[in-house]
Amino acid sequence: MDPILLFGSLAAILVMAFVAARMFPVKNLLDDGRVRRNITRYEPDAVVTDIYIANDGKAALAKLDAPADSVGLAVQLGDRVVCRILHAADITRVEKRDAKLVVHFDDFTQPSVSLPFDEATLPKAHELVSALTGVSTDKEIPDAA
Amino acid sequence: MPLELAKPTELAVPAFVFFVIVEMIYGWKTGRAKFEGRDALTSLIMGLGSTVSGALTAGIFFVLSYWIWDNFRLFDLGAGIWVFALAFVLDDLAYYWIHRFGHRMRWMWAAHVIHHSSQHYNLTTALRQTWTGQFTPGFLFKVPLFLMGIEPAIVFFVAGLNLIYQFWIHTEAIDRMPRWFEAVMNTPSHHRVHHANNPKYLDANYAGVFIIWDKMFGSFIPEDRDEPCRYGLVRDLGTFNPLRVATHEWVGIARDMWHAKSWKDKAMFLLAPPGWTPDGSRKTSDMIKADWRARQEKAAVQANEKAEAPVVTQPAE
Repeated sequence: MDPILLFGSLAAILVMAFVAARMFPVKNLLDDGRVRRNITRYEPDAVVTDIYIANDGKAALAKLDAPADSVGLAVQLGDRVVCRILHAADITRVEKRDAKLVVHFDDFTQPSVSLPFDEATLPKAHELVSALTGVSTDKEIPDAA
Repeated sequence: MPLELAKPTELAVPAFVFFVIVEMIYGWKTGRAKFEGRDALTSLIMGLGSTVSGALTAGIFFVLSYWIWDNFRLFDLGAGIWVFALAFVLDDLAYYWIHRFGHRMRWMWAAHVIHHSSQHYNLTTALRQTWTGQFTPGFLFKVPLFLMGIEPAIVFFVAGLNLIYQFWIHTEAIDRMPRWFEAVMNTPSHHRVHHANNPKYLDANYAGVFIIWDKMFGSFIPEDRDEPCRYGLVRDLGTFNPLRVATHEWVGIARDMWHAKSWKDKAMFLLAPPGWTPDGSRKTSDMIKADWRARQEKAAVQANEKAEAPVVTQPAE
């Protein structure tokens, strides 16, 4: 392939993506209703009892009564929502850093998610994930330098 | 000496860029087409990568095709206009089956899933193409055309035209085409159904150019205005990283085959439909559809019971 054509195409792609981002800015962040709708769309049998939305509105954990032994996850990807129903085996590591919960997954396209929470919500979200994984005190990392 | 023909898709690139920009402006003005910057970037990068990966292996398929045509063809059909027309129709039929297997066999899905991985449906989605199609058995579906005596260069040429046709149907900006056109040709409406992940619409409308193949082989589902399409995968990707987008299903297959307990299971992870597992712990599209139908029936029964319940009215005093 002609290198000029290749790099020309790459430049055109970057320009088009930039224009798309400017013309269609992402405005809608996660809220309670959106998380609930998306999780039940993803898993129609899911019964959502509580929702913990991260401060930045880009991710949320959902406490579920069904399916058993699972936690709902909703992540904003661009302007759309990606959902997972997490079981213990799906989570490889949980870190509580500052006011953030960082959850690592055994998922090639969703390796980890960072959830910044306020002081009141962080312990509840932490407890939700810990209860699922069966590890009550997970890895706590002191303030990153 | 192989016939020398233009590469239609390369010639069409400026038109692709032009129409993507037109659709963006139309969507910006009317709200009838939706884009997102990083999604569009990923789609376009996947398109460029697909061109590069295709160019790297094109020579192998070119030589192989001509070897089959030279040594095993039953007829020599020449290069008349009617041969181009015949090749266009038969290539589209081959495309239908490649595409159908692309959804029903995980080996081929590993390559094709890339095209379905956007949650948007716009002209950039048309360009979100695989980098790994060469590693699937898709080529075999074209072999009958070479055996019939259609020269490979003609097959590659009409396949390019087929891809160009499919560009414009990746849009929400066009609602319905005239009735006669919808009856015969693949259209934005038919193809929206194909890209939708609503259970009702799964595994439908595989056509490239002529929708008649779906009607003939029982895979046609019309777009229902009461069931708006929602685009993407049944388990959407959580990343825009092009390398992860391009390889995720291959990684999944490799992991599953590695952990499989028998050779039969290893083979099934490659050959069975996506979502197949020995213990049924994941869902295939057939299982998702069956669950959806069961829920629909249950809801209908409950609605009927409500309607049939005796209405107790207060006696007149």
